[in-house]
Amino acid sequence: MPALHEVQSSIARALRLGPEHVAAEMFLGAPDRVLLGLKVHANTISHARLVALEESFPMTREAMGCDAFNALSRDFVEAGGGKGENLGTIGRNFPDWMIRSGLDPALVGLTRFEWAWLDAFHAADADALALADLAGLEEADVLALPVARHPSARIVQASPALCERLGIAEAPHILVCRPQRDVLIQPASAALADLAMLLALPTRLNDLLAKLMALHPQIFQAALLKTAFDAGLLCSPEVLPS
Amino acid sequence: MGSISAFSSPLLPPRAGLGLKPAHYPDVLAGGDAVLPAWVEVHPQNYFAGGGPSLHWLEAVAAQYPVSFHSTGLSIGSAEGPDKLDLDRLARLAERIPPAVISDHLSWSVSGGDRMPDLLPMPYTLATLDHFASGVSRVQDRLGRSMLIENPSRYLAFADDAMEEAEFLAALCRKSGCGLLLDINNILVSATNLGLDAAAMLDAIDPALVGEVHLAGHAIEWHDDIPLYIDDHGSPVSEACWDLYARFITRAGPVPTLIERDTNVPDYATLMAEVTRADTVLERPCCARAA
Repeated sequence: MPALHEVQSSIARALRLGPEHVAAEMFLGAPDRVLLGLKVHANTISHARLVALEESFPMTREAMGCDAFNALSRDFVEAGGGKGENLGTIGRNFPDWMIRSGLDPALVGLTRFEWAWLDAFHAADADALALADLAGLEEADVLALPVARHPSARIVQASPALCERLGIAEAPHILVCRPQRDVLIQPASAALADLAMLLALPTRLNDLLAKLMALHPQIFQAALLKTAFDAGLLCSPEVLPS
Repeated sequence: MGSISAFSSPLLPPRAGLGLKPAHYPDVLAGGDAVLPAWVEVHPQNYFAGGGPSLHWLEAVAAQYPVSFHSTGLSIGSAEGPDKLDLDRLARLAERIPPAVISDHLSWSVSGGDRMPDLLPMPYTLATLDHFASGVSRVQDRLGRSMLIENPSRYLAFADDAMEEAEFLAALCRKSGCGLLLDINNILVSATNLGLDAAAMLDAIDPALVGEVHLAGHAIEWHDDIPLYIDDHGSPVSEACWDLYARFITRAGPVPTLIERDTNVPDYATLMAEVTRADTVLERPCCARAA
């Protein structure tokens, strides 16, 4: 008997590339029954991956039509796109693969949005900071307040078509965030998108404002901050998951 | 008859439970006059999230029911050992929502970085027995508790298999201290596909090792007038499976029993009819647990 890693590599290769890649003498029984057995495993693997992609991207599937989406996801799976991923993360690289495959960038924008939504849905819970939380603080304390990006917040590049499909006002970006139970989506200006990026690491509010001022001197900072608070984009670094 | 398994969890009642699907969260949390399972089982991999609604549902369910975690992703039999990432996530989830039981399969899924969403077969040799037992021990050490290992659905047998499945499983329990999750549908599927006697396979299982039983349905394909059973969990428990179940419970006494359905999931009432049927078998006087 070959070593276990040889047995498993051989089976994995056969499941990926076809039964001619496995040593038939490894198994008991008639060759056609061995082939059927391998086929059951290959079908299970392929089916599970295709269903996971289908469940991850229902809007992309609807936009493309079921047959076209199924053909595309089959190509992705057969190209080894989901090989290193479990079913929950199999869609992570799907949008990039779509771009490499020459798919319409507008369609890929929708797929990226769906992945961001799913990511936000499963993100860690954290209480978002609200403007009301700052009530009663002295101005100096407000400016010294440590803030971080809410763990569920994601920024996605938008297109007019995507905004229209999602029923939101046209904007260059979309903010996807789950400050409480539900995932919220809202149009985001370039300045709000930059604010979200600047929050990648916890910072103090006055440092955040200074950096924003440098990037967007023409924007009224207080209004932008209010939008960020209202959107649930900020939280205290203390509530971030370790 | 009526032996008490050393692997029965005091937290999991010896009654029928339900494999819980999101569509049925409101039903199991309804209360009132609703027909409810005695416990529920989930695939923990579906709850490996940092937070969010899925976890909150599970917390709500766990506040009301004993929950069994039936893992599908540890890949304990992989030549490279159990999947560390999956094990860490399972451990974190079990800390947050402590389950009554944790189980996984006598199988492997990961090879050379390829994570295959299936339960692939192990050769039954002394070397693989040692390897698998060592994997189970690593998982149990990380989780800080013993676990149950499920007998697989088999479509393939290895030329170098050196022992029967029941012998392999019993030796695994002795070596690692794990218990068995006995899937009776898997016995039926494996026996049919490999030309074995299902009743004999079942009778060879030591009930004292069994901490939980699974019942499920299977699909049948015909090839040259020979059936190929496929363990798809997509149909009601077959009558042949119910017969084997009654045979086992008569010998073992009441064991926590799960109705498992993962595809073509019907409405709650239909599943609960199967749960009730399993409870009827468990409550038969002949199955009363010996003191």
